[in-house]
Amino acid sequence: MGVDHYKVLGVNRNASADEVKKAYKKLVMFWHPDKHHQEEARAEASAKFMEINQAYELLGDLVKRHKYDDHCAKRVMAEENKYDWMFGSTEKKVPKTDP
Amino acid sequence: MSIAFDAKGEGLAIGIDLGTTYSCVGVWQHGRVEIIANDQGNRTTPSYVAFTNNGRLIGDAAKNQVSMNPINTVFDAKRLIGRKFSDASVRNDMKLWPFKVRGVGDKPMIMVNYNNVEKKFAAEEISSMVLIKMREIAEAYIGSVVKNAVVTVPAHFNDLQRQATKNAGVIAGMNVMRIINEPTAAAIAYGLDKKGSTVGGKNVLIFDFGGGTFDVSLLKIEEGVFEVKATAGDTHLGGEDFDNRMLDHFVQEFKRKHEKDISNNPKALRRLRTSCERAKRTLSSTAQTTIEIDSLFEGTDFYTTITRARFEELNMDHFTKCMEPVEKCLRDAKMDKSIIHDVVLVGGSTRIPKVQQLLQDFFNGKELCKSINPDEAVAYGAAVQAAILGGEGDIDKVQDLLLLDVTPLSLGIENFKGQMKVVVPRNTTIPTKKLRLFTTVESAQTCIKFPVYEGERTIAKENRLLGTFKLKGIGIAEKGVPEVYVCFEIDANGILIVSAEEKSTGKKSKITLTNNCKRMLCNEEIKKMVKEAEKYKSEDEENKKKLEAKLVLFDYAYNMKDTVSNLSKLNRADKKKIVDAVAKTIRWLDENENRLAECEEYKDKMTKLENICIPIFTEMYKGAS
Repeated sequence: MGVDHYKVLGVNRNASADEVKKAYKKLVMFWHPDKHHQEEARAEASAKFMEINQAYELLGDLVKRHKYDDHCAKRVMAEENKYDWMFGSTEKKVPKTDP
Repeated sequence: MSIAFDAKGEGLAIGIDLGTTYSCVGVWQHGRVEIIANDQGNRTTPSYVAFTNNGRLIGDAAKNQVSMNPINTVFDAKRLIGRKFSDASVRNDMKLWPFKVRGVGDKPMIMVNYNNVEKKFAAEEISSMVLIKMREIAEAYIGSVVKNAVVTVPAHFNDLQRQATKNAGVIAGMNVMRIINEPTAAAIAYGLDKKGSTVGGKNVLIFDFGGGTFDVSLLKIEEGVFEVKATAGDTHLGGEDFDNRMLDHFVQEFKRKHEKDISNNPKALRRLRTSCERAKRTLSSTAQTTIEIDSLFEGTDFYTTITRARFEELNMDHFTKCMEPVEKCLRDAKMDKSIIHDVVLVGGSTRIPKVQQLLQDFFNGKELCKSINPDEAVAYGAAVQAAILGGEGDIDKVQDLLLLDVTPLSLGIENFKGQMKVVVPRNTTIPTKKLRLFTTVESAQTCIKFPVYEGERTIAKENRLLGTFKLKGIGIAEKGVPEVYVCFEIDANGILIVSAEEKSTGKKSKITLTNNCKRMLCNEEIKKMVKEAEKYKSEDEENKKKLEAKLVLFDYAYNMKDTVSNLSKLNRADKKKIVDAVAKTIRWLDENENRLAECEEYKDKMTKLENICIPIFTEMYKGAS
């Protein structure tokens, strides 16, 4: 895990917000599962689409993007495999569920 | 005709606008949308189903006989679909319907008399009959079987209403590939998603003014996402109200001119109303029109004229009332009218020049989108989306359109405090996959229950429970130590899979929530309805055969009657024999006018009549030669 979201969108780290948006739009247009009609291609596209969306949820939002950049700088401190959920939510504490 | 098939070989997919009063169907063919006319040559079909002693009628045939059979002619099913019997709107609508509606376990059921038997139908079943009709219209035009369709619903429809609409498709034996919003479909029809990319998206106001309902929706279109910002409208305002105003006006005029009151004569009123509707349509393109009805009432003819100005004056309060929801919609979306990029006209009543003018003035003279037939714009957009999802050839032109679906409500899990822990926030683009980390709240806890909810309330119980699953066999540990990853995965069709995995033991558990198990009708009920729909269809075919047999007998009897009366060569005894037999047959047909007999009965009568007539004629010709 520990995906490089910039790589997913195919933009470099100092890309402008507009460039990020354009790259996202282009990728989404190609990888949306509705654009693929064979079963296998659809499943592959679906997985790819989710990755792209996840990347854009972070990089398309200036605040989240800043946090992400910050985090990448301190990558050593972070457990790589927790990126996905940590950045997907605004909560810091681990929520608990009932027995 | 060349027919394009997609990779799955399922044939073309169609777009259906399933309306309250009228429905419309379109298909993407040869690089463009074709709106398909029905067997009567009409491009929209009444959403009417009639039950008679001679079988079931759908569409124009049903609407044409409504005044003869009001209590068994069902319409407005869209006002009932996905609703509870106890809903206030159902209570109010019921007062306006000539057909009976009864609550069966809080589900509204429509009661009709079909083939002399009391029958009850769910709104889904009535809608499924309309869908079957629309599909048949499409199949007749395309020339092959149609399985897949995109169906539209109003933007304000909730999940239950959408699901019920999908179920109507299942009952009709179709695969509803996607449910899309009517305003979204209209915006797609105009290609508003791609006309230049405005920074911060595009704001589009859809003004949908039909025969019975009025809907205003504000859409924000950005990157292929059509977000409904606000909706407003009037569920009981439309073209029919204008007809009523004109009708009242002419009833008064008739009273003044001829000192006769026609208001208690349903037949006269019906004829006048039909003329009013026609006059209203004419007045959208001319300044004045005439009404000419011979012998309207007690032998008195009614000839009159009406000007557009008079028509506008009669309905001015209705027209100005239309602007209120537009303002409300803008207010709710917190938008100023100056930042609306496009205004789209949908529905027949938007042809009225005054309505267009008021709307245009409201938007300070802005050009309105009205190049697509307003009755067809929604089906047009649905057909485009159907083509994309079906993926048949020749879709290069629409390849750059992408309708991104979002989750309309947040999805999450109830925690031990009864709070809703959101995992997938509302308006998240699907397909999507979200992970959240959960843990135990007690030491040595080996099982966690995950109740899955949808909704925006912070208290889980106030949202809707979609399902519950458990993860068992968690390794014994202190509370808060086990790490349980919960994953919400939604595919492009809206099917949600929630799974949980405990990290240390690798124990897994999951639940699949298809839309179907989300609601209203359980699968068994749907299966039963599908079976019944098939039964009704074969009954329709059977009735058709009976009707044909009846007509053959009818024709033969009258033919004989006619022939015999013109034949001088026939001797008197033979003539009487035939005349008597024919008279007997005709009497039998008259006695059974209101019911269809079995095919065999007609055939039997036919044979008997032939056995009398043919020998006599054979004999006669033999004698002549």
